[in-house]
Amino acid sequence: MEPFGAVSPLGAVHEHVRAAQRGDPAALDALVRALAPYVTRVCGAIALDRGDDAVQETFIAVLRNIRQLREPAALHGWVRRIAVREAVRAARREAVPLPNGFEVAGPLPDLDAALDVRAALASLPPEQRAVLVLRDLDGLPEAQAAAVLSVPEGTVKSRLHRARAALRRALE
Amino acid sequence: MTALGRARWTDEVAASLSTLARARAIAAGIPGAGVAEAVYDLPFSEVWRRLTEFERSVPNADRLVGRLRVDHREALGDGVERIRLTAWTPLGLRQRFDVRLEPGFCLMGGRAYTVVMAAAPEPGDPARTRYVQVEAVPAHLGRLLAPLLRATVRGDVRGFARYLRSS
Repeated sequence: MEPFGAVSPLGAVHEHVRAAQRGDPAALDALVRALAPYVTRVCGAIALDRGDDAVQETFIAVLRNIRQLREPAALHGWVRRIAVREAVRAARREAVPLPNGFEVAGPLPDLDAALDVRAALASLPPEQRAVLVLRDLDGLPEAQAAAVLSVPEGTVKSRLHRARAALRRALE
Repeated sequence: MTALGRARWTDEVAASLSTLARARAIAAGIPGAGVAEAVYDLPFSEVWRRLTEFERSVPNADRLVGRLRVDHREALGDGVERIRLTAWTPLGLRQRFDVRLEPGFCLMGGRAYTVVMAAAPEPGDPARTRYVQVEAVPAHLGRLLAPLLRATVRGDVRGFARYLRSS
Protein backbone atom coordinates (compact mmCIF):
# COMPACT_ATOMS: atom_id res chain seq x y z
CA MET A 1 0.00 0.00 0.00
CA GLU A 2 1.25 3.45 -0.81
CA PRO A 3 1.46 5.08 2.59
CA PHE A 4 0.64 8.54 1.40
CA GLY A 5 -1.91 7.87 -1.33
CA ALA A 6 -1.94 8.94 -4.94
CA VAL A 7 -2.65 12.60 -4.23
CA SER A 8 0.56 13.17 -2.31
CA PRO A 9 3.67 12.07 -4.21
CA LEU A 10 6.62 11.35 -1.97
CA GLY A 11 8.55 14.32 -3.32
CA ALA A 12 5.79 16.66 -2.23
CA VAL A 13 5.61 14.98 1.16
CA HIS A 14 9.32 15.48 1.64
CA GLU A 15 8.91 19.17 0.85
CA HIS A 16 6.17 19.33 3.47
CA VAL A 17 8.56 17.75 5.99
CA ARG A 18 11.23 20.38 5.41
CA ALA A 19 8.72 23.23 5.72
CA ALA A 20 7.04 21.61 8.72
CA GLN A 21 10.41 21.43 10.46
CA ARG A 22 10.55 25.21 10.14
CA GLY A 23 7.16 25.42 11.86
CA ASP A 24 5.19 26.31 8.72
CA PRO A 25 1.53 25.76 9.74
CA ALA A 26 0.29 25.05 6.20
CA ALA A 27 3.02 22.42 5.74
CA LEU A 28 2.18 20.84 9.10
CA ASP A 29 -1.43 20.57 7.97
CA ALA A 30 -0.46 19.22 4.55
CA LEU A 31 1.66 16.58 6.23
CA VAL A 32 -1.24 15.54 8.45
CA ARG A 33 -3.54 15.24 5.43
CA ALA A 34 -0.96 13.22 3.50
CA LEU A 35 -0.34 10.82 6.37
CA ALA A 36 -3.95 10.48 7.53
CA PRO A 37 -5.01 7.57 5.24
CA TYR A 38 -2.13 5.44 6.50
CA VAL A 39 -2.27 6.45 10.17
CA THR A 40 -6.04 5.97 10.45
CA ARG A 41 -5.69 2.40 9.10
CA VAL A 42 -2.86 1.46 11.43
CA CYS A 43 -4.51 2.98 14.49
CA GLY A 44 -7.96 1.62 13.69
CA ALA A 45 -6.71 -1.92 13.12
CA ILE A 46 -4.72 -2.01 16.36
CA ALA A 47 -6.65 0.21 18.75
CA LEU A 48 -10.16 -0.52 17.37
CA ASP A 49 -12.64 1.56 19.40
CA ARG A 50 -9.80 3.71 20.75
CA GLY A 51 -8.51 4.28 17.23
CA ASP A 52 -9.50 7.93 17.00
CA ASP A 53 -7.61 8.69 20.22
CA ALA A 54 -4.58 6.87 18.87
CA VAL A 55 -4.74 8.90 15.64
CA GLN A 56 -4.71 12.15 17.59
CA GLU A 57 -1.86 11.03 19.86
CA THR A 58 0.12 9.86 16.83
CA PHE A 59 -0.17 13.17 15.02
CA ILE A 60 0.63 15.17 18.14
CA ALA A 61 3.79 13.07 18.64
CA VAL A 62 4.75 13.27 14.96
CA LEU A 63 4.37 17.03 14.65
CA ARG A 64 5.85 17.81 18.08
CA ASN A 65 9.00 15.86 17.16
CA ILE A 66 9.17 16.51 13.43
CA ARG A 67 12.35 18.57 13.84
CA GLN A 68 14.14 15.44 15.09
CA LEU A 69 13.61 13.68 11.76
CA ARG A 70 16.92 14.18 9.95
CA GLU A 71 16.06 12.53 6.66
CA PRO A 72 12.60 13.03 5.09
CA ALA A 73 12.97 9.69 3.32
CA ALA A 74 12.78 8.03 6.74
CA LEU A 75 9.36 9.60 7.39
CA HIS A 76 7.24 6.53 6.70
CA GLY A 77 9.18 4.22 8.99
CA TRP A 78 9.31 6.85 11.71
CA VAL A 79 5.56 7.52 11.53
CA ARG A 80 4.85 3.78 11.44
CA ARG A 81 6.79 3.27 14.66
CA ILE A 82 4.94 6.11 16.42
CA ALA A 83 1.52 5.02 15.15
CA VAL A 84 2.00 1.41 16.26
CA ARG A 85 3.27 2.52 19.67
CA GLU A 86 0.39 4.94 20.24
CA ALA A 87 -2.20 2.46 18.98
CA VAL A 88 -0.99 -0.34 21.25
CA ARG A 89 -0.88 2.10 24.15
CA ALA A 90 -4.45 3.29 23.43
CA ALA A 91 -5.71 -0.28 23.07
CA ARG A 92 -4.15 -1.27 26.37
CA ARG A 93 -6.03 1.49 28.13
CA GLU A 94 -9.26 -0.29 27.28
CA ALA A 95 -8.13 -3.84 26.64
CA VAL A 96 -10.19 -6.59 28.20
CA PRO A 97 -7.67 -9.07 29.60
CA LEU A 98 -7.73 -12.41 27.84
CA PRO A 99 -7.92 -15.50 30.01
CA ASN A 100 -4.49 -16.69 28.96
CA GLY A 101 -2.62 -13.47 28.37
CA PHE A 102 -1.49 -13.25 24.77
CA GLU A 103 -2.73 -16.72 23.92
CA VAL A 104 -5.96 -17.08 22.01
CA ALA A 105 -7.24 -20.28 23.51
CA GLY A 106 -10.58 -22.00 23.32
CA PRO A 107 -13.55 -20.73 21.33
CA LEU A 108 -13.32 -17.15 20.09
CA PRO A 109 -15.83 -14.81 21.71
CA ASP A 110 -19.00 -13.94 19.83
CA LEU A 111 -17.86 -14.53 16.28
CA ASP A 112 -21.22 -15.50 14.84
CA ALA A 113 -20.90 -12.62 12.44
CA ALA A 114 -18.16 -14.37 10.52
CA LEU A 115 -17.40 -11.42 8.29
CA ASP A 116 -17.24 -8.90 11.10
CA VAL A 117 -13.61 -7.97 10.91
CA ARG A 118 -13.83 -5.74 13.94
CA ALA A 119 -15.18 -8.54 16.11
CA ALA A 120 -12.50 -10.89 14.84
CA LEU A 121 -9.75 -8.38 15.57
CA ALA A 122 -11.19 -7.62 18.97
CA SER A 123 -10.57 -11.23 19.93
CA LEU A 124 -6.83 -10.61 19.58
CA PRO A 125 -4.60 -8.72 21.99
CA PRO A 126 -3.25 -5.41 20.64
CA GLU A 127 0.26 -6.83 20.25
CA GLN A 128 -1.03 -9.46 17.80
CA ARG A 129 -3.03 -6.87 15.90
CA ALA A 130 0.14 -4.78 15.61
CA VAL A 131 2.00 -7.70 14.04
CA LEU A 132 -0.83 -8.24 11.57
CA VAL A 133 -0.73 -4.59 10.56
CA LEU A 134 3.03 -4.54 10.09
CA ARG A 135 3.06 -7.76 8.06
CA ASP A 136 -0.18 -7.44 6.09
CA LEU A 137 -0.64 -3.69 5.69
CA ASP A 138 3.00 -2.64 5.42
CA GLY A 139 4.39 -5.95 4.14
CA LEU A 140 7.36 -5.71 6.51
CA PRO A 141 9.67 -8.72 6.82
CA GLU A 142 9.57 -10.34 10.23
CA ALA A 143 12.93 -8.91 11.21
CA GLN A 144 11.76 -5.35 10.55
CA ALA A 145 8.45 -5.93 12.30
CA ALA A 146 10.41 -7.20 15.29
CA ALA A 147 12.52 -4.04 15.26
CA VAL A 148 9.45 -1.78 15.19
CA LEU A 149 7.89 -3.65 18.11
CA SER A 150 11.17 -4.09 20.02
CA VAL A 151 10.61 -7.82 20.41
CA PRO A 152 12.60 -10.86 19.18
CA GLU A 153 11.87 -12.13 15.68
CA GLY A 154 10.57 -15.39 17.11
CA THR A 155 7.94 -13.48 19.06
CA VAL A 156 6.74 -11.84 15.85
CA LYS A 157 6.49 -15.25 14.19
CA SER A 158 4.49 -16.78 17.00
CA ARG A 159 2.19 -13.77 17.37
CA LEU A 160 1.59 -13.71 13.63
CA HIS A 161 0.85 -17.42 13.55
CA ARG A 162 -1.66 -17.14 16.39
CA ALA A 163 -3.26 -14.00 14.97
CA ARG A 164 -3.71 -15.41 11.49
CA ALA A 165 -5.04 -18.70 12.85
CA ALA A 166 -7.56 -16.88 15.03
CA LEU A 167 -8.70 -14.64 12.20
CA ARG A 168 -8.95 -17.55 9.80
CA ARG A 169 -11.15 -19.41 12.25
CA ALA A 170 -13.24 -16.33 12.79
CA LEU A 171 -13.75 -15.60 9.13
CA GLU A 172 -14.30 -19.09 7.80
CA MET B 1 -5.52 -13.90 5.10
CA THR B 2 -6.93 -14.42 1.65
CA ALA B 3 -10.49 -14.15 3.01
CA LEU B 4 -9.68 -10.67 4.20
CA GLY B 5 -7.43 -9.64 1.38
CA ARG B 6 -4.07 -7.99 1.83
CA ALA B 7 -4.50 -4.69 3.63
CA ARG B 8 -8.16 -4.44 2.65
CA TRP B 9 -9.27 -5.53 6.08
CA THR B 10 -7.73 -2.41 7.56
CA ASP B 11 -10.24 -0.35 5.55
CA GLU B 12 -13.01 -2.05 7.51
CA VAL B 13 -11.69 -0.81 10.82
CA ALA B 14 -9.97 2.45 9.89
CA ALA B 15 -10.15 5.14 12.55
CA SER B 16 -10.81 8.77 11.73
CA LEU B 17 -9.01 12.06 12.10
CA SER B 18 -11.31 14.72 13.51
CA THR B 19 -10.90 18.38 12.69
CA LEU B 20 -10.29 18.99 16.41
CA ALA B 21 -7.45 16.46 16.51
CA ARG B 22 -5.97 18.03 13.39
CA ALA B 23 -5.91 21.47 15.03
CA ARG B 24 -4.37 20.12 18.26
CA ALA B 25 -1.69 18.32 16.26
CA ILE B 26 -0.78 21.45 14.30
CA ALA B 27 -0.47 23.34 17.59
CA ALA B 28 1.96 20.69 18.82
CA GLY B 29 4.19 21.35 15.81
CA ILE B 30 4.50 25.12 16.30
CA PRO B 31 6.72 26.34 19.14
CA GLY B 32 4.79 28.57 21.53
CA ALA B 33 1.41 28.17 19.83
CA GLY B 34 -1.55 29.14 21.97
CA VAL B 35 -4.51 26.74 22.13
CA ALA B 36 -7.94 27.25 23.66
CA GLU B 37 -11.02 25.06 23.66
CA ALA B 38 -14.65 25.76 24.44
CA VAL B 39 -18.07 24.19 24.12
CA TYR B 40 -20.72 26.43 22.60
CA ASP B 41 -24.42 25.82 23.29
CA LEU B 42 -25.42 25.76 19.64
CA PRO B 43 -25.43 23.04 16.98
CA PHE B 44 -22.33 22.64 14.85
CA SER B 45 -23.93 23.82 11.61
CA GLU B 46 -24.99 27.12 13.15
CA VAL B 47 -21.70 27.70 14.96
CA TRP B 48 -19.66 27.01 11.85
CA ARG B 49 -21.83 29.10 9.55
CA ARG B 50 -21.62 32.10 11.87
CA LEU B 51 -17.93 31.81 12.74
CA THR B 52 -16.97 31.61 9.08
CA GLU B 53 -18.82 34.80 8.21
CA PHE B 54 -15.36 36.24 8.76
CA GLU B 55 -16.15 39.86 7.96
CA ARG B 56 -18.63 39.94 10.86
CA SER B 57 -17.38 37.31 13.27
CA VAL B 58 -13.68 38.11 13.55
CA PRO B 59 -13.90 41.87 14.21
CA ASN B 60 -16.64 41.17 16.78
CA ALA B 61 -14.63 38.53 18.62
CA ASP B 62 -11.00 39.62 18.25
CA ARG B 63 -10.00 42.92 19.84
CA LEU B 64 -6.89 43.08 17.66
CA VAL B 65 -8.94 43.12 14.45
CA GLY B 66 -10.81 46.29 13.64
CA ARG B 67 -11.89 45.36 10.14
CA LEU B 68 -11.66 42.40 7.79
CA ARG B 69 -12.31 42.03 4.08
CA VAL B 70 -12.64 38.89 1.97
CA ASP B 71 -10.74 39.58 -1.25
CA HIS B 72 -11.11 36.30 -3.11
CA ARG B 73 -12.90 32.96 -2.77
CA GLU B 74 -12.19 29.87 -4.83
CA ALA B 75 -13.72 26.39 -4.55
CA LEU B 76 -11.14 23.61 -4.66
CA GLY B 77 -13.64 20.72 -4.60
CA ASP B 78 -14.71 18.32 -1.85
CA GLY B 79 -16.08 21.25 0.13
CA VAL B 80 -12.67 22.92 0.38
CA GLU B 81 -12.31 26.64 -0.35
CA ARG B 82 -9.26 28.83 -0.72
CA ILE B 83 -9.88 32.37 0.48
CA ARG B 84 -7.69 35.44 0.54
CA LEU B 85 -8.57 38.06 3.08
CA THR B 86 -7.15 41.24 4.55
CA ALA B 87 -7.41 42.24 8.19
CA TRP B 88 -6.66 45.59 9.79
CA THR B 89 -5.89 46.23 13.44
CA PRO B 90 -7.82 49.05 15.15
CA LEU B 91 -4.73 51.21 14.51
CA GLY B 92 -4.81 50.44 10.81
CA LEU B 93 -1.95 47.91 10.51
CA ARG B 94 -2.74 45.51 7.68
CA GLN B 95 -2.09 41.81 7.24
CA ARG B 96 -3.10 39.48 4.41
CA PHE B 97 -4.09 35.87 5.03
CA ASP B 98 -4.32 32.80 2.83
CA VAL B 99 -7.15 30.65 4.12
CA ARG B 100 -7.96 26.97 3.64
CA LEU B 101 -11.58 26.46 4.66
CA GLU B 102 -13.24 23.06 5.03
CA PRO B 103 -16.34 21.97 6.90
CA GLY B 104 -15.25 22.25 10.54
CA PHE B 105 -11.69 23.34 9.82
CA CYS B 106 -10.04 26.61 8.85
CA LEU B 107 -6.38 27.53 8.61
CA MET B 108 -5.59 31.23 8.16
CA GLY B 109 -1.94 31.80 7.39
CA GLY B 110 -0.39 35.24 7.36
CA ARG B 111 3.26 36.31 7.33
CA ALA B 112 3.26 37.24 11.00
CA TYR B 113 0.30 35.36 12.42
CA THR B 114 -1.55 32.08 11.95
CA VAL B 115 -4.99 31.11 13.20
CA VAL B 116 -6.48 27.61 13.11
CA MET B 117 -10.17 27.15 13.86
CA ALA B 118 -11.80 23.73 14.25
CA ALA B 119 -15.25 22.65 15.36
CA ALA B 120 -17.25 19.44 15.66
CA PRO B 121 -20.50 18.35 17.29
CA GLU B 122 -19.99 17.49 20.94
CA PRO B 123 -20.10 13.68 21.27
CA GLY B 124 -23.48 12.58 22.60
CA ASP B 125 -24.87 16.11 22.53
CA PRO B 126 -25.47 17.36 18.96
CA ALA B 127 -27.07 20.56 20.29
CA ARG B 128 -23.61 21.68 21.42
CA THR B 129 -20.35 22.25 19.57
CA ARG B 130 -16.77 21.74 20.69
CA TYR B 131 -14.44 24.38 19.36
CA VAL B 132 -10.63 24.54 19.23
CA GLN B 133 -8.63 27.58 18.23
CA VAL B 134 -4.87 27.82 17.72
CA GLU B 135 -2.88 31.03 17.31
CA ALA B 136 0.78 31.15 16.41
CA VAL B 137 3.56 33.45 15.29
CA PRO B 138 6.66 32.44 13.28
CA ALA B 139 8.57 29.68 15.05
CA HIS B 140 11.58 31.81 16.06
CA LEU B 141 9.28 34.16 18.02
CA GLY B 142 6.96 31.50 19.39
CA ARG B 143 8.60 30.71 22.71
CA LEU B 144 9.14 34.39 23.49
CA LEU B 145 5.51 35.26 22.83
CA ALA B 146 3.92 32.06 24.16
CA PRO B 147 2.34 33.64 27.27
CA LEU B 148 0.86 36.42 25.16
CA LEU B 149 -0.49 33.94 22.60
CA ARG B 150 -2.13 31.83 25.30
CA ALA B 151 -3.90 34.88 26.71
CA THR B 152 -4.89 36.13 23.27
CA VAL B 153 -6.37 32.87 22.07
CA ARG B 154 -8.36 32.44 25.28
CA GLY B 155 -9.74 35.94 24.83
CA ASP B 156 -10.70 35.24 21.24
CA VAL B 157 -12.54 32.03 22.12
CA ARG B 158 -14.48 33.95 24.77
CA GLY B 159 -15.09 36.65 22.18
CA PHE B 160 -16.62 34.13 19.79
CA ALA B 161 -18.86 32.90 22.62
CA ARG B 162 -20.14 36.46 23.14
CA TYR B 163 -20.60 36.91 19.41
CA LEU B 164 -22.58 33.66 19.10
CA ARG B 165 -24.81 34.64 22.03
CA SER B 166 -25.47 38.11 20.69
CA SER B 167 -26.29 37.42 17.07
